[in-house]
Amino acid sequence: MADDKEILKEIWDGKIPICFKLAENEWRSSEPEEIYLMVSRQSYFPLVLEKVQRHFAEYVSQTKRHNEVWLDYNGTNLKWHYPIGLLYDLYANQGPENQSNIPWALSVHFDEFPGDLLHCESKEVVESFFLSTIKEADALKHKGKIINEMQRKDHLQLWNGVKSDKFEQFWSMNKKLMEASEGEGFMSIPFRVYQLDKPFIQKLFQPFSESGKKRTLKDLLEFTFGETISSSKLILIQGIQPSMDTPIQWLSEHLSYPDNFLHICVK
Amino acid sequence: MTAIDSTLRNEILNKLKKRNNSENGVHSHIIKSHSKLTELNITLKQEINEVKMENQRLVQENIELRKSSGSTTTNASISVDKYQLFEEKLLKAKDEVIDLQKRLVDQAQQVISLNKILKEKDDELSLKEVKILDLESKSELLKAANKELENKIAASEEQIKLWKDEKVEMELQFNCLLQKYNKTKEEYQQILTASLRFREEQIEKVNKLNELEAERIQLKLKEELLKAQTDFSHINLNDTPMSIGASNHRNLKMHAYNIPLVNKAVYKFDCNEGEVNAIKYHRNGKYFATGGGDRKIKLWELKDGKADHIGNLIGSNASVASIDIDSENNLIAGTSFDFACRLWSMNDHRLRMSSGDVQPTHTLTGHTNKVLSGKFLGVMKVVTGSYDRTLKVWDLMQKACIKTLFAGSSCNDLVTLDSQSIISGHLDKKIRFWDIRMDPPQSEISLQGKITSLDVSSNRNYLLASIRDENCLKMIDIRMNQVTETFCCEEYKPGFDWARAIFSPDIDHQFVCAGSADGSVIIWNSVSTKVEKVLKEHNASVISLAWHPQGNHLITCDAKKKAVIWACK
Repeated sequence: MADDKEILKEIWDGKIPICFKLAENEWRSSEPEEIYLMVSRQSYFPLVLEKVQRHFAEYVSQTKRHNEVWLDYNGTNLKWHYPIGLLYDLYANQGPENQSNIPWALSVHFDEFPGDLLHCESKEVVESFFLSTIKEADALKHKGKIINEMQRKDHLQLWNGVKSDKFEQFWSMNKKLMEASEGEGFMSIPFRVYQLDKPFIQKLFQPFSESGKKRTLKDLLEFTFGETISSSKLILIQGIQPSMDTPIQWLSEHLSYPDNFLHICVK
Repeated sequence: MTAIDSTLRNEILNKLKKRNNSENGVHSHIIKSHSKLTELNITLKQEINEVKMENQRLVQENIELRKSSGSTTTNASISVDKYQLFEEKLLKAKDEVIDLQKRLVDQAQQVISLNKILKEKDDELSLKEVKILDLESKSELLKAANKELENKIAASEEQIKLWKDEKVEMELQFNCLLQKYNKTKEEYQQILTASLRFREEQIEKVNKLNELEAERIQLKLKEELLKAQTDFSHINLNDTPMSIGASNHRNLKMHAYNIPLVNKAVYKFDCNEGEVNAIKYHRNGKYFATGGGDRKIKLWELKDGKADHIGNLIGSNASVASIDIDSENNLIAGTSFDFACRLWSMNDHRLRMSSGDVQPTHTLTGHTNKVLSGKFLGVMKVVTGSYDRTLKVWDLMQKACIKTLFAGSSCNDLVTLDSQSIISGHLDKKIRFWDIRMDPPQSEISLQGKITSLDVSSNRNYLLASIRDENCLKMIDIRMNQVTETFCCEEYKPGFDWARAIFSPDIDHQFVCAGSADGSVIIWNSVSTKVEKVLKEHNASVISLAWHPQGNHLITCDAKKKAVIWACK
C-alpha cells in the first residue's frame, strides 16, 4: 500500500528547469531567444513541447515550422517515451551534490529527424504507450488482474492525471494498482535498470525471498548485475540515492514513476 | 502499509526534499519571471509593430492629402489665363452638350418610329402565327382523315381477300358436291333401271298368276254352272211357270213352291263378335258377307253345307250397319255407325291369296250421324241413308258426295230401284220415294209406325216394309203407291230399329221372311199372308237375314253373333 502521502507528494512535485535553445544550424536570421521551462519529472516531453515549438516557430524557415520537434542533449537524441525525470537522471544528473547541469540545456531541432528516434505524431501515441507500460507493470505485480478490472474511464483518469499534473486525480486510481497483501507484496517487482550506452535491464524479482524476508535494493542490484555493486557507482531513483537497505516492496510502491515502473539509473 | 524502517524513510524523505530544493526551488522563480518577461517582450513587440503600421498609414494619408491639396498653393498670376481657357472650354463643352442633346432627341424619335414598326410587324407575325396554327390543325385533321381512309382501304382489301379465299373454297366445295351429285345420279339411274326390270319381272309373275287364277275360276264356274243347271232343271221340272197354287198340290211340300220352304237349321256358326247387323249374299251365291258389332265384315264361302271364313274387311271404326255387294264390279259397300261408308274391292285371287284383312278402297265420309244403310245405285254410285236425316249420293269415281237429299227424318233403310230411284224408310213412319235428279221426294207414304227395313222384290214391283211399333210387315205396290198386303204374327216383333225383313228371291216373291226379337224366324206366304213357318233356333233377337239367290237356303243372324243356315230337308 502506498500510504506515505508525504513521500508520494514530494515525488509528484519534482520539477526540473530546462533551457531550450534552438539548434544553431536552424537559425534563420537571428539568434533566437532561449526559452526556460519548469517541467515535471513525471511527465513526458511531447506533452510540454508545445510552447517551445510555438516560440521557435518564427525563427525557423517557413517550411520547417510544422515539423516534428526533437531534442538532443550534448549530442544524445532524447527518447520521448522515457519520463523526463528518468532522462535527466540518466544523462545529466551528476548526483545530489553536484548541480552543474541545472538548468538542463537542451537543443531543439526542427529538421533532420534522426532515424533511430521514434516519431510521436500526437499525444494519443504517448497515452497508449503510457497505458501499455502500466499494464505491463500490473501484469508483473498482480498478473494483470487489477488493471483488467479497471474500466476505460479509469485508465483515462490515470492518464489525465499525468497530463494535467493532478496528484489527487492520479493517485485515487493508482493506489489500487499499488495494493499488495501484507507479508506477500507484489508477485514480482516491475523495475528497469538503466545504464549509459547500454540497453536497460529488466528481470523478474520477487520482493520477498522464500524464507519470507524482505529483499532490499542491494539484493535487487546484486540480482540484476550478478555481483555486488561498488559503492562508487551512483544509483539514482527519482533523482535521489536511496539507502541500500531500503525494502524493494516499499520502493516499488512509493518511488515508482506514474507508469508504475521503478526506473533505476546506475552511473 | 508496507513496513519500512522509519529512519530509512526519513532519510529518503530528506533526500527528496533536498532534491526538490536544488532542482526546483530557486529556479522555478527565475524561470517564472523569465517566462513572464519573454511574454511581455513579445506583446510589446506586437504593439510596436502595430504602432509602426499605424504610423506608416498615417504618413501615407498625410502624403496623399498633401498631394491632393498641393494645387491650392500654386501662383495666382497664372490664374486669369487659366480662367479664360476654362471659360472657352466650358463654352465648347456646352455646345457639345447641346449637340449631343439634339442627337439624343433624333435618336429618341427614331426609336419611337422603330418601335411602331416593330409593333406592326409583331401584329402581322401574330396573325400569321394564328393562320399557321389554323392550317396546321386543318392539316392534322386531313392527315387523320387520310389515315382513316387508308385504314378503311386496308380493311376492305383484307375483306376482299377473305372473300376471294372463301369463293375459291366454295368453288372447290361446289365441284366436289357436283361430282358427288353426278355419281349419285348415275347410281340412281342404275337403281332405277334395275328396279324397273325387277318390277317388270314381278308384273310378269303376277300376270302369270292371274292367268292361272282366271283359268281356275273359269273351271270352277263351269263346274258350278253344271251343278246349278242340274239343280235348276230339278226345280223347273217340279213347277209350272209361276203358278204358286198348282205347284202346291202337285209336289211334296217342299217341291210345291218354287223356293223350297226351309224348315231346318242345317249349320250354325259364329260369325261376328257381338250383334250381327247385316248379311248379304253375293249374286253368284258362293259368298256372303256378314258385318256386325266387331266392326269387321267377314266373308264366308259355303262349302259342303259349311261356311268357310275366307277373309275380313277391316277399316270400320264402329259397328257395321249394313252391307251391299255390287256383283259386277266385285265391290262391297259397308256402312257403319262411325258415320262413314266404306268400299272394299273383292277380287277373288286376292281373297284366296291372303285370307287376312283387307283395307277399304274408298271411305265415304260426310254424314254426321250413324249411316244405317247404303246401297249401290246404278254404276259407280252409292247412296247412303243416315240418322242425320239426310241421304247422300256418292260418286265412286270422284269419291265424293254429289248430292244430298234432305229427308227430315233419320233413315233406317233404303233401297234402290234403278239408277235414279231411291226409296227410303224413316223413323217418322214415312216411306219416301226419291228421284235423284230432283230434290224433294217424289212421294211419300205414311204408315203407322217406324220403318225399320225395306226390301224390294226381284221384279221391282213390290216393296216390303217392316214396321216396328205395329209389329207387322207391309207390302206396298210401288207403281200404285199403295199398301197391298199386311203380314202379322203374334210372335213377330222387330227387335231392333234396323231389324230386316226380306222377300224370297224368286220372281214371284212367294215368301216373306223376318226375324223376331225372341229369336224366331217367321216366314209368311206373300199371297195369302198366312204364316207358313216359324223357325226357332236362335237364342237372341234376329236382326238380319239373307236368302240364297237360288233360294236353296236361308241364313239368319242374331244379336249374339250366331248365324244359322236353314235348308229344306
